[in-house]
Amino acid sequence: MKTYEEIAKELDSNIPRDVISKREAAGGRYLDYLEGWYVIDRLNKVLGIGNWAYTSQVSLVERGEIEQRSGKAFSVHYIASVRLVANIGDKKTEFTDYGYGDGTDRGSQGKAHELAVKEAVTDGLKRCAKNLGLSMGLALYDKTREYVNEEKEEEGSNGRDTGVAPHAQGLPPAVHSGGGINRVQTVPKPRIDTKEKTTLDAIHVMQRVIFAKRLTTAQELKARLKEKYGVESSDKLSEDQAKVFLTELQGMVV
Amino acid sequence: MKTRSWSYSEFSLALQCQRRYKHVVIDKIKPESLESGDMAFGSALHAALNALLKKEDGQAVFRVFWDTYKDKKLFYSRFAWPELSDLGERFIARFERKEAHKYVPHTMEERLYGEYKGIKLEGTADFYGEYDGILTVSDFKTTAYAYEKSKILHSLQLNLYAFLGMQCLDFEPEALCYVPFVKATGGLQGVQKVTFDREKMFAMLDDMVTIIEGFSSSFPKNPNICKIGSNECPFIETCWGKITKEGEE
Repeated sequence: MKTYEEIAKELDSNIPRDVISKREAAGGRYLDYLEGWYVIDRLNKVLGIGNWAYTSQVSLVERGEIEQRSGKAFSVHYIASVRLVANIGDKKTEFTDYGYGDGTDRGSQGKAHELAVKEAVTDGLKRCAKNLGLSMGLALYDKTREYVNEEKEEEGSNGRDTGVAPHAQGLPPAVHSGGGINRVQTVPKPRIDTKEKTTLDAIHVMQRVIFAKRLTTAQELKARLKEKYGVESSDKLSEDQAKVFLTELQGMVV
Repeated sequence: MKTRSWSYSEFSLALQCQRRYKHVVIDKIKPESLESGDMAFGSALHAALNALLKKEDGQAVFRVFWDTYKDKKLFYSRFAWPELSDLGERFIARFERKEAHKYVPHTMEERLYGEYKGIKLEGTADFYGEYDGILTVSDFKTTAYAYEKSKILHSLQLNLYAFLGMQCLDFEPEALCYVPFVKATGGLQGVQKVTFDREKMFAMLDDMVTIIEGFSSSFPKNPNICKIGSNECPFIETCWGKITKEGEE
């Protein structure tokens, strides 16, 4: 069974470019989105089937008729309130969010309602899921596309072949989980890998800063090393000399 | 004016206001206004990226460089020292992870001095080398918001660097790049690249030379930029005297 840390890492990984779909929005722009089946599939693969569920409530917000090229059509609009609950390792969490859907059908009001309700619920589910991490859609909110990989999704990374869409298995049954809900802790930003620094490493860093700040030049520093320590470069200093030289450099920068 | 050596920033300054150019570049007057924290941040990040591309510890360089500003009184626009500290570390980490391996430096951060049609030119490009296998001149930018493509399509700065690279390093680029680090989003915007066009470069330099030849040794003031929005030129009193409450000099 995966640990919380393992699941969190998977949830917060980048999105592969090839799973992103595009749809046209107002003004001729195109918006990126993840398809519903992909989000459900990813929830199953990362959290495990049976380790997540959702409930929904839909509200009709508008209905009427619209004029299409082929004639009049029934048009309905729904808002869905969706509550997603999930087990992440030993932690339980839940999110509630809203989705929107509209449905249009020339022949059947019922069909129009069906399309709108499904769209609204799927939209709401996706909006809930994005809170679980970058790979669940959150990355698409970053306009720089920092967390989108140019590489295609690797085979097996989501448990399926690239380019072959899995069957949509239908939505999992709504389950009400018990109490004790905790919010998912976002994966903390990895702290910089601080390697153990030798005195020489520190000297190189200080020199780089000194040159960048134009406090002196490489030639002047070289002359100083020759004059005071009898060496051509800082790499040739003894450990004791290096410590003294480092203190000197630190004094220049402050 | 024609005998001076011109960098892109000095040329831009003179284009805005020749009197301001004189105060800053020729008279070297340091205005009383606070040093810009954002500019200091840009310098720190540049130093870090420079180190990183030379296979040194960019994060350590940034930390040391930026720490020197921690207790200094600087003017910050949107983000203060702690936020910029965090942003800087994230920028460097992301650049190291996603971009650094694409760069093969030939020359970095070296001041180059050239001449075109009798006008001395100088500049320090961040990077001459290969980016993704293509000979490129690159400049790293820290910016509040995302860079528009138009900024690179007609970039005199990059074309000037390209010219200096050709003349001084025998380096003819295939592409010109801006690499924006966007503070508002905390990420890399993505390299803004354009194919290098030799003819366009020379056309831009011709215009630059024409303008420089037209600068006046009397360094006229440009009142239009004395105050833009809430930004006031630091030399406004030097140029116009002290303004009383009634608006009289």
